[in-house]
Amino acid sequence: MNATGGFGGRRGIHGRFFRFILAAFAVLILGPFLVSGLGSWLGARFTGIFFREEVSSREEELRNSLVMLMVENSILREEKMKADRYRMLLGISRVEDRKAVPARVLYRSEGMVTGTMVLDRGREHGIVENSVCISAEGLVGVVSRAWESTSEILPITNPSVNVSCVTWPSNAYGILQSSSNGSLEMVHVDLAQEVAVGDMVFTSRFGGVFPDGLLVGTVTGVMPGEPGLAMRLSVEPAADFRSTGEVLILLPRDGSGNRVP
Amino acid sequence: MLGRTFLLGVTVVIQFLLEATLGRVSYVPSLIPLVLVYFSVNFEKLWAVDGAFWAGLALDLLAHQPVGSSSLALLVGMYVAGVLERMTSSEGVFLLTGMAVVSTVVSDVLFVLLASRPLGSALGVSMLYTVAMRMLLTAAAALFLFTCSSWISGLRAGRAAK
Repeated sequence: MNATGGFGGRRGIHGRFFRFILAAFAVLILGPFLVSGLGSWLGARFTGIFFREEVSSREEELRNSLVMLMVENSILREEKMKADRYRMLLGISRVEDRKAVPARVLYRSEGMVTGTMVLDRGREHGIVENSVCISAEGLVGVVSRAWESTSEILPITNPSVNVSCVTWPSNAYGILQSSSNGSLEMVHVDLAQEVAVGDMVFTSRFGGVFPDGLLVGTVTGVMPGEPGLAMRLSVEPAADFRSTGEVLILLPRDGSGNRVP
Repeated sequence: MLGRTFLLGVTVVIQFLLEATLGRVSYVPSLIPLVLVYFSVNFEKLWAVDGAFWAGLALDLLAHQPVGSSSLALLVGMYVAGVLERMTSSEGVFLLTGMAVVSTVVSDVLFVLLASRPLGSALGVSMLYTVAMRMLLTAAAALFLFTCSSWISGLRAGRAAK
């Protein structure tokens, strides 16, 4: 071993020590900027030399796949919503063995009380006057006029539509009418019946036009009638007439159309 | 020169591997000051400066530590070891071991102070205990290495004399 002489004492080495210490100190101070800034710049500048072609084509391919999947996902989500809605419609239509025609609301005239809805199905699809229109939520109305390829629906909020109904579970019969302010009322209800708020209202087997068992709405208020022998019930309709878009037309027993499975 | 540079590079890699594996759960000796002391005393004095700077820089980059902290710590440690060498009259294995231990202690303390954020926040009893353990391990490694080296040198000298 040649352990002679300290390197700390020599002038040349001494100066070199301090120069390198200063350099290390400068690197320590500027290191983060050098490593991050210079590294980023070098990466951005030279990465493309080796990877540009492959990365760009691959990125393009992945981007296209992503867009396709997003579109497909959107379509499938919409189809699922439609399937759920049709499933509910078909479930409701099973209350009676009738022929049914699915239809879409083309437009609706203004006004909750006197307004009407026009559907994209008409006589050529088997729809005739007095066919019953239901939605996934419940009873919507009745076909008032049918043309070749379209038809007009009078909603149950129209004053000219009267529906024979029954409450459940109180089993009180009455006639559903539309009041002047557009709200639904069930009149001529026997005072002896113990109807409570929250009871459900269904179409009854009386009346002839509407099949029985269709959900109409819910009782929201119980009021004594003017003659004093009957009471009136406020009814909240189950169907949302403003947003209903797809409906099912239940044809009369002698009408034509596709049989619901 | 090339062989010693390669050896120093290998030492840096071994040091990094030790720090990244065993150093996470236990204590590891500081090998770089040991090698730098050996090279600077037995060969060119520049090893204490250039070797410390570049080895520290490489170690910082490998270990993702603040760049320059190990360089600065090793440079100061080697400078203090050089001062010790100048002040003492002893020589041989114990001088080299003492220089390696002093440079290890100085560089470890300085590195912890420089690499911690905020600066100096890691200084505490636990850190001093770690430094002490590293010092002991480095002293043991230095004694073993320098003794082996001295023995091999003696063998070579004996064969050359024959």
